[in-house]
Amino acid sequence: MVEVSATPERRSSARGWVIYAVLGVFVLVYPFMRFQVGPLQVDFTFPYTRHLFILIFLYALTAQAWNILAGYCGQVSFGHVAYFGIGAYTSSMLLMNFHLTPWIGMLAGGLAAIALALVVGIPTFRLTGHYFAIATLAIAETVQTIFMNWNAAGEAKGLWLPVMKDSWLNFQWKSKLPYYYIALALLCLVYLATYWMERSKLGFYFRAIRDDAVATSSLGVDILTYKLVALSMSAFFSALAGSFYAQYVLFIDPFSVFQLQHSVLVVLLATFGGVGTYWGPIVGTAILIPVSEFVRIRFGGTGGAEDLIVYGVLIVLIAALEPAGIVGIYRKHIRPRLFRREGMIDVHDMGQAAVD
Amino acid sequence: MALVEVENLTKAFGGVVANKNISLRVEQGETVGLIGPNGSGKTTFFSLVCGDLRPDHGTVRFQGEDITGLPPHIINGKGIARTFQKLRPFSSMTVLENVMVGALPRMSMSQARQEALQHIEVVGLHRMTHSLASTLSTGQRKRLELARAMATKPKLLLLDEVTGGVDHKSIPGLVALIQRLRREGVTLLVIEHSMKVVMELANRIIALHLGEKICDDLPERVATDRRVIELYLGKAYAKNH
Repeated sequence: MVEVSATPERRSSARGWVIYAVLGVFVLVYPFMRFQVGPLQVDFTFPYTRHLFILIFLYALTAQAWNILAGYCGQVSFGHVAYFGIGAYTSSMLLMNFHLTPWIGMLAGGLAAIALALVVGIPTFRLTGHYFAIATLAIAETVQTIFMNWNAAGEAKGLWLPVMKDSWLNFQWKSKLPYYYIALALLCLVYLATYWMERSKLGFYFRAIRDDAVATSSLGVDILTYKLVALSMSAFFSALAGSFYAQYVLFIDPFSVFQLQHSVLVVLLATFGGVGTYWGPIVGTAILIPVSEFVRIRFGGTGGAEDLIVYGVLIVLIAALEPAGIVGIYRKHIRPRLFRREGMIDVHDMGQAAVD
Repeated sequence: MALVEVENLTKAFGGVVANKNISLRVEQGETVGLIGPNGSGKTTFFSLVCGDLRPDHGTVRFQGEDITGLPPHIINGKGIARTFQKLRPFSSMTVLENVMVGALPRMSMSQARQEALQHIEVVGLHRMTHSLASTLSTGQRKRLELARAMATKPKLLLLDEVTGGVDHKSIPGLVALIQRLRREGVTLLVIEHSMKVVMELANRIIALHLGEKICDDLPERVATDRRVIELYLGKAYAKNH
C-alpha cells in the first residue's frame, strides 16, 4: 500500500518552488552584491546594508517563534522578550564566568528559556480565558526587575562581553558577514521547525486548541501538555535570537534585552504579516523593519518614536482592511488572480488560521 | 457490571443545583434517552460524566473503574466521547483535519487519515472532505461532530441534541446515522428534545426535572408516566397519544 502523507492535496506548486529558489539564492549572495543599473550604483557590501538584513533575520526569527505559540496554538503572549533576554543573559554569563563558547551558551539559553516557559505555563495554562496573556506581561516585567538587581548579572549597568579575536569558537568577528549567515541559518532553523510542526501531530493539535480547546480535550488530546510544547518551542527559538543578539552587539543590559517595546514589536511584525500563517512573520518583518529604519534615518534625532507612529498607522490599516495581514491580502486578492486553476491549494494554506 | 454506574451525582452553580443526587446505570449496548425541559440539568450531567465539570459529590464508574473528576482527555481515552449541543467545530480546519484530531492520539498521521476518511464516509460528508468546517451548514456540522467523536473509538457516546436546530428534512438522516452507530455496538446516551426521535431511538428513557431524576423506564411507560406528562410533555401530548 502506498503511504499517504497527512495532506497530499496541499502540495506546493512548481512555480512556488521556483520563487523560493530565487529568494534563497538572493539572500545567499546579497551581502556580496554590487552592480550598476544605468546610472544607479547598487552596492550591498556595506556594513549597514548587511546589518539591515541581519536585523530582518533576527526579528523574523523572534516573530516566527511568537507565531508558533500565538498564531498556531492561539495562546497570545505579550512578554516574549523575557525569553529573548534569558537567552542573551545565559550565554553571556556562561561566557564571562566559565569561558563557555557562546554556541553551547546559546543552547543553554534555549533550555533556560524552556525552564522559564514551564514555570510560567504550568500554572497559567490551567486557567481559561486571558490569564495567560496577562501573566506573560507580568512575568516579563518581573524577569527584568530580577536582572536589574542581580549582582552577578551586572545589575542595571549590564554586561560588556569581552572582545576576543575572530573565530567560530568565540562567535566573534569584526566583519558582519559571519553574523549575516548565522542569523540566516537561525531563521532557516525556526522555519524548518515550523514546517515540520505544521505537518506533524503537533500542528493539528495546536490549531485544534486555538479553534476550540474544550472540544480538543474532549477528543482525548492533553491540551495542557501541548500548550506547554508550543510555549517551549516558542521560548527556545526566542532565546536563540537573544544569544545571537548578545554576541552581535557585545553589550546587554536589562533595558535593552527586556524592553517591553520589543515584546510589542514582535506581535506587530507577525500580525502585520499574518498571524498563524507560515510566511506572515517574515513578510511582516521584511516590510516593517526597512520602513522603520528608513523613518529613523530620515526623521531620526528629533526625540524618538517616529517609527512607532508609522507602525501604528500601518497596523490600524491592516486591522481595518484585512486582519489576516499581508499574507491574508495575498490569499484573498492577489493569488486568485495569479493562479486561476480550479481547486489548487498550495502548501501555505496549512496555516489558514488568521483568514477565518 | 453495568458499563456506566452513576451514584448520587451532584453539582451546584452558586445557589442553583443543576444535578441533585442523580443515580443511574447504563448497560453495554443500550441506547438511553435523556429527556427533560430546558434547565433540567441534562447537559450538566454530560459534562460531569465527561470530565468537563467536576461534581460536588457522587461518583461515576465506567467499566467498574472510578473515573469521577478525571480530566476530559483521560476520560476520552477510557472510551467515552461526547458531542456538544452548542457545536464546537475547529472552524479554520477542514472536515478531514477535524476528524483526524479525534483519531491522532491513538495512531500515526497516515493511519489517522485513513480512519478519518472512513468516518467521514459513514456520516455522509465525503463530498466536503476538504472544505473548511466554517463553511458547513448546521446539519453538516452535527455530522462532523459525530464523525469526530466516533474517530476516538468510544465505547460510550454521549449525544447532546444531535437533531436540535436542524431542519426537519435532515432529521431522518441523522436518526438513521445514530441507529447505525448503535448497530456497530456503541452504547449511546442521547439528550433529545424531540419526543418522536427519542421514542424511535431509545430502549429506555430517563427524565430529569430541576436537576433530579424523576423517571427511568421503558419509552412507552415514560410516555404515559403521569409525572413526566405533567412536568415535561404537557397535557396536550398525553391527549394525542
